[in-house]
Amino acid sequence: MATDPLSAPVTITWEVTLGCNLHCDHCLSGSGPGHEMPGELTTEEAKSFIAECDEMDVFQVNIGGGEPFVRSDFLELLEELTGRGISTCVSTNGTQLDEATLDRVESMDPLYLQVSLDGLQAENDAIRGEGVYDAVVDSLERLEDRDIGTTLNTVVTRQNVDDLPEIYDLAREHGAGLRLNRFRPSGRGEDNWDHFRLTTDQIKWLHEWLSDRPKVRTGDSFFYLNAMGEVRNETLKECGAGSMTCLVDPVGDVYPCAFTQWDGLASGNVVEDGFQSAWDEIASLRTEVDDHEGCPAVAIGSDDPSGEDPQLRAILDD
Amino acid sequence: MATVRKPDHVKYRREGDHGLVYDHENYGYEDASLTTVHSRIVDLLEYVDGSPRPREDLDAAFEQAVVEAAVEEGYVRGD
Ligand SMILES: C[S@@+](CC[C@H](N)C(=O)[O-])C[C@H]1O[C@@H](n2cnc3c(N)ncnc32)[C@H](O)[C@@H]1O
Ligand code: SF4
Repeated sequence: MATDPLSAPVTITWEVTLGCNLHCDHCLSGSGPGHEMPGELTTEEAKSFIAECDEMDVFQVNIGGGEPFVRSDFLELLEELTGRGISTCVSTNGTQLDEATLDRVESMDPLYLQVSLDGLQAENDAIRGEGVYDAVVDSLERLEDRDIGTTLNTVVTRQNVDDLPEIYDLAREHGAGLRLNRFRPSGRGEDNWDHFRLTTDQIKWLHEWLSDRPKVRTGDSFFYLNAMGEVRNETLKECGAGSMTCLVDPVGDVYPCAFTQWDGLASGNVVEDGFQSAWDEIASLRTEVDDHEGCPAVAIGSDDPSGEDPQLRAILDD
Repeated sequence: MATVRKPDHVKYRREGDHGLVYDHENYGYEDASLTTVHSRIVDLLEYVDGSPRPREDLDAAFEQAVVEAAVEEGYVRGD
């Protein structure tokens, strides 16, 4: 059953570049060094897009990529967003946060930082590259004394799921929250789906572990069931892609969400068509993305027509 | 609760004949927490937005149930 889209999204994810200083094995956007797309939005185009977000009353812009901080005008764009009172949350790999950058970030509000950590040292560095764990912990230590709301974000994989209790402690010790992301078969994750995806036993363990830790954020349809297979969070049950939220890629193309950037799921361009008309177009894609319980990206990207999510209920009911 | 204001992270707008409140004091990447509200809540939020108001002004301008709901949900807070 398709949901009617809102007149404008309430939150969007904006990938500001596909350039990144790292090259992670699971990267949903296939980013890396020198991977900038030809024709990424100029500063001027980006600022007009921000003005249109403001006109449309978009409440929050979540920023990803690529690594946002490698874009040379990124702080200027953040100032433009927060100056208009739009809430922002920046997802970062945590390796580019020098003190001068943090000074400017701290002066902006409302702004939240989400720093990625995909395991303790061995597992994180296996996915994200050598030395990245130490760089992230160093950033966390420096963020501790600053007035910047910070969360560690972990994409849960077969290899790092056992690290979660210690990652939870690490986040708390540094005054940060913990948020879990479900691993999706998108970008390089599509090639590595069977390598990183959780086993049935791990899925059960994870849902139980989460039941005892209500402060761990998930924000993800995978976690709408509790360990007993019962609905734990109604608001996560329905995927909001293309009805409350969408993704804008570095050249301004609009997709239902970060995980569904496949040909045939694009719905216009914020520069050529304008964001409002690209959003209005997105309604036609809802039937494609909304026919699944849970996350449609998993159903589409995993080559499994029934997806993993209908099976999730069976796994947890077991 | 002498003066009442809207916290910065609370966002709202009209949508059709009702309102939407986005109350998202968190650091999510793609998650959105959203509530459909009565248009009177939007009227109230517009009333306090930008300039904090004495609680008595709110009580005089809005039905008690609307003011209580807005306070209870944290859409407005006392200074
Ligand atoms: C694509 S990154 C961009 C921002 C920044 N470079 C970073 O790594 O945080 C945004 C978030 O998506 C997560 N992510 C990457 N690939 C993913 C995948 N295949 N499934 C789920 N989340 C993924 C990252 O770990 C990160 O938390
Ligand atoms: S997940 Fe983030 S840090 Fe890793 S390659 Fe992708 S964009 Fe870069």
